Amino acid sequence: MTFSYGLGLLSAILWLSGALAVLAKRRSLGVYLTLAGTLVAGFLIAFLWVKLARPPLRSMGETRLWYGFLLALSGLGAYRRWAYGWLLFFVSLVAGVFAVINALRPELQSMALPPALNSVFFIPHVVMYMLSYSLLAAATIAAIYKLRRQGQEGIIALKTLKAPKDEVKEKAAKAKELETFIHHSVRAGLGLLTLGLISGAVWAKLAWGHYWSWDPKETWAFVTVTAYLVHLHLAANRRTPLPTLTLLTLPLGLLFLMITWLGVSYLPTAPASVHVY
Amino acid sequence: MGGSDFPLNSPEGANPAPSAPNQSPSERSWSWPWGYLESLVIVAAVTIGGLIAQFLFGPRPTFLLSYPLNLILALILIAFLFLTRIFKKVLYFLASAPLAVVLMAFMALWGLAMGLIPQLDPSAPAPETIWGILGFFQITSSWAFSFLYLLVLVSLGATVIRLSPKRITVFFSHLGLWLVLLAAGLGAADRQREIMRVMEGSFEWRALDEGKRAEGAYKDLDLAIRLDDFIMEEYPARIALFDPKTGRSWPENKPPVLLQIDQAALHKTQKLGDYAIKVLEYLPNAAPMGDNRFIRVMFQGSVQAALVEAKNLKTGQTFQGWLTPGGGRLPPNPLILEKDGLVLAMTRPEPRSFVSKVKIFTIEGQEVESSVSVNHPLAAGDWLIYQRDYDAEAGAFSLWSGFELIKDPWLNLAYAGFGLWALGCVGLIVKGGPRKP
Repeated sequence: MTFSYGLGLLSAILWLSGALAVLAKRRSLGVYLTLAGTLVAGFLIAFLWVKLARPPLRSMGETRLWYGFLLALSGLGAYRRWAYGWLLFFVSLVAGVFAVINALRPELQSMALPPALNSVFFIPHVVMYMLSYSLLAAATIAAIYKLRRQGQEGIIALKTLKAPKDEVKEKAAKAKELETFIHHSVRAGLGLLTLGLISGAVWAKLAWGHYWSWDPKETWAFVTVTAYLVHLHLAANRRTPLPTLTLLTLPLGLLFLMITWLGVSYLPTAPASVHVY
Repeated sequence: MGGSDFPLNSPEGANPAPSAPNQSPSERSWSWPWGYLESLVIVAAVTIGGLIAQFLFGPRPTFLLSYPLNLILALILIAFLFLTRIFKKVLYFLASAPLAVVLMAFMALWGLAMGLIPQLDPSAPAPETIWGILGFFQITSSWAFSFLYLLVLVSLGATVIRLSPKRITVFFSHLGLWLVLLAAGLGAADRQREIMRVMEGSFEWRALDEGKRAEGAYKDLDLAIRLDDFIMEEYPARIALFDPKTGRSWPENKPPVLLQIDQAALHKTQKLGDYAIKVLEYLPNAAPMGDNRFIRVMFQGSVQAALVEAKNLKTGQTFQGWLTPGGGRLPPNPLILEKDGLVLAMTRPEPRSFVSKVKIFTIEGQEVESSVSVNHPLAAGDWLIYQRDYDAEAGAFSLWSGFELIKDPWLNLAYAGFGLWALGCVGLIVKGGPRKP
């Protein structure tokens, strides 16, 4: 077992136990464990960077490492601001699962960086995408949480007719706060997603000669960005007939996003892609 | 979440239409302002119209969007958009969120089709199936996709006209995206791409004629390239076990296990399959000397070489020998590990960088002396010159360098669009949206 493999495994254990601690209502312990896992992952990124003498962003496993790190980091940031225990739980869980996947599929870490990746766009392109993926995952978790709550509230609504006024007010304030959280994370996530796409387009112009070629990865990126734009326009329009539909576009967008990131290699269109690695 | 962000479709003030009193817009179809139902009907009708056109006329001919027709279409589009300012109701509908949502949903569906169905080159003949005839294998050159794309340009353009430039984030994102889509869509047919192969030390002005590639035909370009030098740097080679019967790495059907061979690996023992491998000597620039021996040299045309020791952990047998991936006229030199027929061999080193030192002469008399490498194209005349390939067999010994020459008269418009769009995105991140919900 190599040193970097051990660090990866350690971050997985810390994140998963962080998730368990939150589940067991030991929230501050959960925060510390998640924070420790994030620090270990951050150290692992720095260690690989020095050891390989190149940014560790080339292989799928390396992008998963960044994803776990940034997801946990944004989850901790969001927890500090919003104190959502459920968000911290899911973020630690997902980061832990990704770290476990990396531990199960150890990659041979090659030092070689193909000339096409040797570009100033390489690091911002991938890091903006990973940060955006983590924010959009957080927004999706919040949307699913809200959808579930809405289902329950339908039943509760009848009971609250007799409930004291303060309780109703408090519930409304909490729902509003959750909406604000989704609003902000989707917008920041979509902004970063689009910046990732634009930087990729300009880079493609310099590396391959054209900024958009409908390469399968580009096509799926187009579908993903479009899905989130649909969400944004539905959410911003007061005549939207179904608020539930607006929320449902978030898990759908995340599904497209995961296909773009991890799934394209397995599709019938993959052989034509220059993005498969 | 409120509707305060995009007052694109707010009926109040924007709607002087004499709609019947006591009737909300959603209750009566086809009364202004139009909403989701009307948008859905219109976009679906345009799509079906496109599919019918495809069935009747075949794929959309390229010349329809070539110069000067694409420029005329762009001007008509802009004129139309300004004309809608007179017909406010039309403008409000075209710029409305419901139309945008429906259009984007349809575009996403085409994107899904493109992402799932392997696409053919637009110039290739379509398969004689119903899906082939309807254009599902060449979506970007199908009528339905082109009509929807045009409708996106109309709707997005109307939004830009309606938006107040004061709402800078939203305005920049919409205008930027509109410029990108205009340049990418209407400029597609004006993009020219040529491939040229230049021998070291000589001139070339002819490009391979892609249309007559089979006949090996060439066409003259308005510029010439002189290749002065082709320089390639390589990563340290790696070694792996190979099965000489299949020529593939061992174990088969698994990603190859490669050991890095460089100064850092010297005198360390690494495990490879059943073997313990130890690098005794590593020469990044070597030449063969006499009987299966390598020495350090300082001249061009050298290869990487390493003296390794392989110990079979099961039998205890030890093998020793020089490895080289070869190159130029030198064949690769593997180490034969007799018993199971496996050999230990150095893989072809991966390129770290490759650069062509060139001088460009345009027909107007412009001369540019510079270098071209991956990620660093060179501008000369109206062309951007890209490093494309080299003789992969010869690697660093390649005697020629391949270039791709690209001309895109709409590129600056696209770049301007990307810039504005990116600024809009920064605004979206920083402000979390134009207004708080």
